[in-house]
Amino acid sequence: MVRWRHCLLVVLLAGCIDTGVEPVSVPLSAAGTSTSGPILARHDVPVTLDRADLAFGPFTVCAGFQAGDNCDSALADWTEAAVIDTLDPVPQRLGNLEGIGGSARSYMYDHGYVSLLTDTRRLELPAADELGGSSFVVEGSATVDGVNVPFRASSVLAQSASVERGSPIVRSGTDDEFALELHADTAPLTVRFDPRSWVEDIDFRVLSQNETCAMDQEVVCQLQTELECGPSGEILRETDCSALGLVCAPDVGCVDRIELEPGSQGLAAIRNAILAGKPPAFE
Amino acid sequence: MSLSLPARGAAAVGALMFIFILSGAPVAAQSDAGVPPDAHTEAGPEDDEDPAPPADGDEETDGAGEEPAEPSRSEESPPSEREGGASVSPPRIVRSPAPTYPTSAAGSGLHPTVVIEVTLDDGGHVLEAQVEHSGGQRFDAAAIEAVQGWTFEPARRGDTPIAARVRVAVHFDLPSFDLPSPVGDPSAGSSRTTESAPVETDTSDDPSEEEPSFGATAEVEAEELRRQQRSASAFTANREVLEAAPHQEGADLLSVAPGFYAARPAGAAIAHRIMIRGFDAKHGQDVALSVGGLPINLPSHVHGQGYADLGFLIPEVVSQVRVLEGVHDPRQGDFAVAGSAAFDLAVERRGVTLKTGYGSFGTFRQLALWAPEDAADETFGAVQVQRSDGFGQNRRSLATSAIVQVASPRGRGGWRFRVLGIANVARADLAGVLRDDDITSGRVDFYDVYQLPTAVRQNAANTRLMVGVFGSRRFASGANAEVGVFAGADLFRTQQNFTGFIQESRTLEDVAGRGDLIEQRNRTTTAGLKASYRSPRAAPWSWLEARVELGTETRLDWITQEQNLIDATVRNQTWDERVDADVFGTDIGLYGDVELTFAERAVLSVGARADVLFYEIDDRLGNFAPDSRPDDTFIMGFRRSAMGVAGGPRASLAVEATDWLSLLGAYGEGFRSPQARFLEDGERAPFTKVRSADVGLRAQWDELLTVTIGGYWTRLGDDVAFEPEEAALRRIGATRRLGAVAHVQARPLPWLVAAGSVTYVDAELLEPPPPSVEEPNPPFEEGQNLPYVPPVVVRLDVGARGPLGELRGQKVTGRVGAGFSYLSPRPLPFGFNAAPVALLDASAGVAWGPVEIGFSVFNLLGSEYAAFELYYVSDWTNGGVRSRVPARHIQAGAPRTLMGTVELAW
Repeated sequence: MVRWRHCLLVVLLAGCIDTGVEPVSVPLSAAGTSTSGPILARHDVPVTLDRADLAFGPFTVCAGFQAGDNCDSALADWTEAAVIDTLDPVPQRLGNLEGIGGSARSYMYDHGYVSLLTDTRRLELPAADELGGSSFVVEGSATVDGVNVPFRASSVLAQSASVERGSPIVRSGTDDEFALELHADTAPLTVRFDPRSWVEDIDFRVLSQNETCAMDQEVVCQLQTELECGPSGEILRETDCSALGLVCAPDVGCVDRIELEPGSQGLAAIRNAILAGKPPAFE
Repeated sequence: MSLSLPARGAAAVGALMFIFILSGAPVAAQSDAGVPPDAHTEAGPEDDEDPAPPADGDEETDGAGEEPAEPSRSEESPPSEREGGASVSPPRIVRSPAPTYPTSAAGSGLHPTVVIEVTLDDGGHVLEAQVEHSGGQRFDAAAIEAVQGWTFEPARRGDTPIAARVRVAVHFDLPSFDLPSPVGDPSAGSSRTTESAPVETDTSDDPSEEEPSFGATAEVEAEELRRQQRSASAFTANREVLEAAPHQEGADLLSVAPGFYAARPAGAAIAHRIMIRGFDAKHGQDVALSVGGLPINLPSHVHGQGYADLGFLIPEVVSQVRVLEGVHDPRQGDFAVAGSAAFDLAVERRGVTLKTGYGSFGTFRQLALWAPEDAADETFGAVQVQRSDGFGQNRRSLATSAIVQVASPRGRGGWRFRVLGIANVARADLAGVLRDDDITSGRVDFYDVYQLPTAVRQNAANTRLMVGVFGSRRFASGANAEVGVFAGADLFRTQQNFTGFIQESRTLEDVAGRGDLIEQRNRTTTAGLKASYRSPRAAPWSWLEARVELGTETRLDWITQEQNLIDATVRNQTWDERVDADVFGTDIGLYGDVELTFAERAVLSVGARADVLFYEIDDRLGNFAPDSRPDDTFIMGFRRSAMGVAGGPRASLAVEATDWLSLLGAYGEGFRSPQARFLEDGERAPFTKVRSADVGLRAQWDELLTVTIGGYWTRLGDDVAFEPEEAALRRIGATRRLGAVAHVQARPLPWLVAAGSVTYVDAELLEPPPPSVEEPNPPFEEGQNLPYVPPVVVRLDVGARGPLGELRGQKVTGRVGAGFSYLSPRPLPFGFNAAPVALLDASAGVAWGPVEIGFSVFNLLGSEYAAFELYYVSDWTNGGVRSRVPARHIQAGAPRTLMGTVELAW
C-alpha cells in the first residue's frame, strides 16, 4: 500500500517501505510455584518437596497452533538453558526471547539437552551439567503408613534420535491454549512451572516394602527393617534403619533416601508429568 | 538504391547510399499541389534485387568536376515506386564533398557514423539538415556542414521534380596516413566498400585538401526505420555513456539504464542479480536479455526461471544498450516482465587492441580484440580471460569468453548477413552466505567463509556456446525483412549452501544434518528462429501513414536438470535427491504491429503478440512419497504435458507536442513462462501474466540535453521470490508496482557527457499465500512491500574525454569518469529491511599514440556493504543450539578494488 505520509521526507533517500513486523526482544523469566502444604500423591500419600530443580531451555514460540515440524520457522526463541528452582515463586530472569513480531500460538522447549540433526548424540547444555547430567532433580519425602520416606529423583529428558531427531522434546499441541502477541511493547514473559503435579501420580506405597526373605532375594525391607537374606531364603541379618536415622529402600536396604531408579513407576511418573502433564503457565 | 560518384581526387573516399522519404512532409505537400503529398516512399540503400555495382561515374553532371554516376538498376526492380499511377524516383546525390574531421577530435580514435535527415526542395537544394543519429556534437556539426554543401538531383514523380526528405549517413574515417591510399582502390579507406561505389570528392572544394584525408560514407541504417523509442521507458545508452564510468563486466553496463542495478553477490560463474524498477529480476526471470540478437534467458532453469548469465559479455564490444522497461513492444517475448534489454555489438575503433589489467586481490584480465579495418564495425573477434583470487576467502575464479561476429556488406538481393558466435567457460569458488549474528560475534569475518567442508566446497561452473545467423533485407519499396536462426548449448552446475545444517533426507531414512550443500545441474540445448517483415509505408490520406509489421520468434529447449544434497566430507556423496527431470519446451511467438503516423505529429503503434507454449515434463522424482515407500504400488515418476497460449495487446503513442517535446504513453500485456516442473498435467495457462502501462514526456534539445520523466504501473499475476532452503524460486502471488522515473542525459560540453536517473517504486504484494498448517508464519504478508526491491534507485554517470596536447609528435588524450549507484533500503521477508547501498566507481586514463594507461577504482568509498541480504532460518552452529527464528544473512559486496590497465591499439 502506498504510504504517502511516510514518503514525504524520505522518498529520495530511503523510499517508502512498509516496515511490516519488527524485531522483538522480550524479557524471559521462569518461576516455580509455592508449595505451602503437603502434596497428595497417589493413595493420598502426603509428599513434601525439598528441591525441584528443572533445566529449562532452549525455548521457542511459533506462529502455528502446533509446534514441531510446523515450526521450522519460528517467531522467537531463547537458545540457552538455565536451572530453575520450581519451588521458588519469584521469577528468575533467564534472558530475552529474541525474534520477530507476530502472534505466537504454540511453543516448544527442551530441558537442558538438545537433539541435533548433525549428530546422533544429544547436546548437553551447561544447565544440565549443573544438575549433574540431569534435566531435573526432585528431592522430598513422602509419609507412607506413618513412615517418613525421603526420596530423590533425577533423569535426562531428551529427544530420542530415533524418534524425531532435531526436534525439541516438549511441543505444545492444538489443545494447549497459548497466545502471545509479540511486538516491541510485549510485556516480559514468565514461564511458571508447578512441581506439585510432578509427584501427584507417584505411588509412594511401593517404596514401603513389607516382605520377608525368600529364595533368590538378597535384601528386602520389612517396613523399616532391612533383612539380609541367605541363598535359601533364610534371614542372615536384621537392621533397624529408623534407629540409624535411615530409611529402608526396597531391594536396597538402609539408605539416606530412596533414589527413584530408571524404570521405576515414580521416575516415570515424574518424567511423564514434566513432559506431557500439566503444561507450564505463561504470564 | 545505391549511388556512386566518380573519383575526383585523392582526398576522400566512401560509399554512399541513402533512403528517401518522399515527403508528405510540409515541404512536399506545399510545393507540389498536383501530387498527393502523402506519397511516401522509402527505398533501400540499394536495389534489393540488383544492387548497384560500383560505377566509374561516366556521366557528366553540372558539378564542378564531380561526376556522379547513375545508379545501376535492374529492369525488373526499379528503385522507384508508383504512386497514383506516377512513377516515383528518389533524389540522387550529385556532389558530396567529404566532411571535415573535427580537429578537436583528432587523436580520439573515433570514427563515428552520423545519420542526417535532409530536406530537399524540388530543385534538389538542401533546405534543412537534422541529426537523426548522433555521433557526438563535434561530428554532428561537421556532418551537417558537409551535407549542406552537397547537391542532389531532386526526386521526381513521373517527370515532375518534387520535394523530398532523405536520410543519409555520414561516416568519419580515421586519418588516412595510416591507411592504404583510397585512390584507385574502392575498398580502401572506408568500411563500407562493397555496398556501393566509392566516392572521391573534389579536393578543390575541400577545405581539408592539404589535411590528411578522411573517408566519408553515407549509409542507410535500415534497422532504425523501426521506431525504438516507443515509450517514456525506452532508453538507449550509447557507447559514450557506457564508457563514461568504469565497468568491471559487461553486465554492469545495465546499471546505466534507469532503475537497473546488476551485481554478482553470489560470486563469479553465477549470473548477475538484476534489479529493474521495482522488480527483483533475480538472475533474469523478469527481464528479457539479448546480445547481438541472441536470446540469453534460459527457460525452466533449475536455479531460477529465465536464468541469464552475462558473464561472457566483453564490455569493449558493446556499442549500445537498448532498454525497454515495461511491456509494450510486440517484439518483447518471454521474460519481458519488467522489461527487456538488448546489447548491440560493434567495435568502432578498428585494428588490434590488447588490454591487460591487473589489480587488487590478484585480479587479472587480458583482452585481445581484433576489428579488421576493412570490415564493418559489427565485424570483430574478441577473447577475454579473467582470473581473481577474490576479495575474501573462497572466491577464486577463472573465466574465459570469446565473441566473434562477422557482418557482411549488403549483397545481391539486398541481403545483409551477420554471424555471431559466443563461447564462454567459467568456474569459481563461492563464499556463500554468512549470518549477521556470526559476523557480529566475531565468529566469522565479513569477507570470509564458514570453515566447514559444506561451506568451503561451494562453487559454481558454467559453459555456454551460442551461435546465430541473422539476415536483413531492404526492399526498394521501403519494406524490410529480418530473419535469424540461432542455437546454443549451456551447462550450469553449482554447489551452494544457504542454510547450513537443517536439511533431512527424504530418500534415506534417518539421514540428516550432513550439510545442506545443494548441488544443481542444468543443461539446456536451444534452437530457434526469428523472422519479421515490415511493410512499405502506406498513406491512404494526407494526414495518415501506416506500416505493418509481422513477425515470429520461436525456440525449442531441451532441458535436463537435477538437484541433490551432497556431503562435502565424503567426496560429494549424494544423500538426498530433490530434482531429476527432463523438460522439453516450445515457445512459438507471433506478433503483429501497425504503426500509424498522424500528420507527422503523432505515432500510434497498435499490435498484439501471442505465444504458444508447450511443455513436456519427465519428472523422475514425481509422486515421491517416503511414507508409502514400504507399500509402494507404483514406480516413481510423473510424466506430463501442458500447453497454453499467452497473448495480449501492445500499444504505444508518441505525440510531438513541439519540436523538442514528446508526450509518450504505452500499454502492454506480456508473460513469463513457468518453471515447467511446477505444472500440472494439462495445465492450460502455463505462464504468468503481466500488465504494464507507462506515461511520460521526453524533452530533447539536440545532443545537449535529453530529459525524460515518466510514471509506470505494472501488475503481475503470480510473482516469485527466492527461497534459500531450496535455492530456488517460490510463488508469492500477485504483485503490483507503481512508480516514476526521471532520466537526464546531457552533453554540456563537447568533451563532457553525463547521464543520471532516479527511479522510485512502490511495489506491493497483493495476494501472498495465506498461512497454512505447514507454514503458519509465512514470510510475506498482504500489502507489504516486495522483498529485495529497493524503492529508490539512483544512478549517475559522468565522463570527460579530450586532447591534452602532444608529446614527441603523438597526440596525448585523457579521460576521467565516474559512476555512482544508490539503492535505498530494501524490504526483506518478515518485515526487515536491508541497509542502503551507495557505490562510487571512478577511472582515469591517458593515451599517447597507440598506448593507453588506465586506472580504475571500484567502490571508491570503501563501503563494507552487503551485495545481497536475505532473511530466513539457518543453522550454521554445526553441533550447537540452533535458532529457528529467521535471521539476517548477507553476501558480501566487494571492497575497494583497484585496477590498472595497459592498452595497446594499432
